Amino acid sequence: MNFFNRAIRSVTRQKSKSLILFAVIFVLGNILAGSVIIQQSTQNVEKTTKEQMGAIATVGIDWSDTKRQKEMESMTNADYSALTEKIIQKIAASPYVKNYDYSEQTGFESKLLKPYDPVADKKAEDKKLTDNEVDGGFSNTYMPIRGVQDPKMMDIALGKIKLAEGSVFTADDVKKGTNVVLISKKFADKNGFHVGDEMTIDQSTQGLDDADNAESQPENTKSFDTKVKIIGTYDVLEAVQKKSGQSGKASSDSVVYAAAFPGGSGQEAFDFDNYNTIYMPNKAVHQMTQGFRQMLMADYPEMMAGMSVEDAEAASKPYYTPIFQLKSVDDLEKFKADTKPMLPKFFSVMASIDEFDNIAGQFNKLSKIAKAVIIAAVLLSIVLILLVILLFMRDRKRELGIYLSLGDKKSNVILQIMVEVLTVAIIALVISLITGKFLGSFASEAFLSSDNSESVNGGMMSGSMMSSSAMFSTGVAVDATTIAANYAVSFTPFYIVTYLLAGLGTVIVSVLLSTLYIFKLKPKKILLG
Amino acid sequence: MSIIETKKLNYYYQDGDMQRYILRDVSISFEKGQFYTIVGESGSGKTTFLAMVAGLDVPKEGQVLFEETDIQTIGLENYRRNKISIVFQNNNLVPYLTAIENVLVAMAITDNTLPDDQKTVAYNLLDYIGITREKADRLVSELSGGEQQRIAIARALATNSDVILADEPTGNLDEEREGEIVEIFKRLAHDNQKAVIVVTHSQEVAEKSDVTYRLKKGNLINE
Repeated sequence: MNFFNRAIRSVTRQKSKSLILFAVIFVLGNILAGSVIIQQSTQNVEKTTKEQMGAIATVGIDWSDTKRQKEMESMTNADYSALTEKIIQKIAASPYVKNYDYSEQTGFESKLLKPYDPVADKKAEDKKLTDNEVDGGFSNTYMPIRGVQDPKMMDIALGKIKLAEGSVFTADDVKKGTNVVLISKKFADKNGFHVGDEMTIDQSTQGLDDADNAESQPENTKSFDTKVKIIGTYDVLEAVQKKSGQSGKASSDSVVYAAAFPGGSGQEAFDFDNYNTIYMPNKAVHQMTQGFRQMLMADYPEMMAGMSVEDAEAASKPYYTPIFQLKSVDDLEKFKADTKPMLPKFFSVMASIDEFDNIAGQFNKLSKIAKAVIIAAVLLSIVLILLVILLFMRDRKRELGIYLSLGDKKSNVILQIMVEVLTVAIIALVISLITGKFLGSFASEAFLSSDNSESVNGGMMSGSMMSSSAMFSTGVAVDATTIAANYAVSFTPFYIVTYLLAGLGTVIVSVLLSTLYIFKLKPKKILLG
Repeated sequence: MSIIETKKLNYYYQDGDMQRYILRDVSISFEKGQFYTIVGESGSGKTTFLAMVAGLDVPKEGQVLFEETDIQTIGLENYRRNKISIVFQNNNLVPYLTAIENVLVAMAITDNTLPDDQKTVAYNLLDYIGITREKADRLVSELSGGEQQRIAIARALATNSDVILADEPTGNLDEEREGEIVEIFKRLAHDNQKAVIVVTHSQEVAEKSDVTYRLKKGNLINE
């Protein structure tokens, strides 16, 4: 009848005491399990979402930074130095970079080309309507042009698009700046183009005219035409469409989103860009934009009035937007730190996951609350379990005195208490592992739904702004809904191990603290007093 | 040779500058095979004396020797575990254990060499002091006061120590039960060669012992 056997008999034969201890540990265990699982789920959602957002970074001027905006306003030409190809290539030599490209980007209003409108045209395709019968979905007609330096094309590497017909660019095309383009299959179909056809990019002055000017007529608009050869068509990949669709639906429902993007959903603009982007070599883009600029300078001298020679010279140089695909999301911070010293003034590294904290504000809040609850639950558990054990030990003072008077070692008496409490605790913790998961699900759902409505009513942007990855054109739009879809309260080995360790650790600390009472016990006073 | 010897035991409480003596220069020696009683009025210091001899407390001055070694050198916990056994007035059994389990607890605690089949030994011990096998398997809370005191004696015997100390073992029993318990103690001393030291206020018990010491206001008076 050693301490272990005594402990087991004590647990099984003193049922009311065991039940009280079980109830206390079970209740506290549920709070602890719920907060551990919430904390873990928020960590998982961050990891999953950041992986979805991709390990993508760019270098540019962060216009969303108000401090930077003020600096830029007082900037002189002498202060400004451009992000040159040389700097981009130096950055790309970083060991963290897997793939990179840089792009001169522009866009144009066309009178000749019809953009593919993903919303309206999809409707038309489904109902077999003609163009005239279709309600205009998204009214944008500004078609983006994206320069390419890497002939293999970054957007293909990122899984945003895939080649449908024809071929991608050759190294020679990129080097010489040949007027060749890659367009989306939908855009080609809409305009009746095929691979090998010639297409005219008409950079028109439409939109540059003063809209309020009555004399300004559409027929007065001019255009700078560039004839290009279509060498290939691409499909927008399903994963991108699916993500766009998913986040677009949720975003459209949001009051905040409607305020942020009046007249149309930002998601629609994102989809529009996906289908209407014209890819062509950087050099060709530059030649085309310069041609258009020179036409403007000749035809609209008033637009260029006041422009200094330096400004004009700066405008004639290409402005590149680089994009770096890193080997891992975990490398982003190191990449940022290494890159910072190489950057021209006012430039900074912006990563796809930078927006995570803004978008996932409610999850971060939930994570912080869960962390606080874990700490509070652990401390509360230590105190409450300690008090219950002390109360029971006071009640069993005579029994403990008997063991000590028989000469039992204090360590054995402590071990008996430890076994008794741990036996009850393990049962309570294992059951609360399951019930705590449901409590965690319920609590986080209640929190997220209340926080969502607060965001909408309060006008907070964090809940529904699209992530920078959409802005980066990395092909993956991640918003609060996507993050919410990634949020799942589920059993994971990590949760089970973390919770049981935290739970048992708490119980062990309580028992060890309570053993101070055993050291104070005086069998003479108890048994002979 | 005495098995236990107290040498000028002094025990007092400090009351301001005053020392209130509970025991004063008490020197007694006990031998195996004898049944001793320590008698005295309430407050005479007999229970304090037993606590010193049982290693439950330490004297302010003086020594308790076990086979000529100071029990503090042996270690009080070790001394209680292996050298002596105690029977308390209120039997002090573990309430959620059966009679046999209470005996087995003591057997598990001691370091003394015991027979391998401890359960059989425990049943036999209980039988020896009059607890049937059927009662041995019952929770002690289901047994009478007399039966509980017998179990406490069986537990004291289970560790195979040479000294049995008892504090008012018959205090809560009727005359008939008291007589039975005293007979057990006599048997243990005479047949089993134990040194049985019983602290009691009962003159009847004292009369049946081999040697009686009387304590009066902490001083030893030979009977």
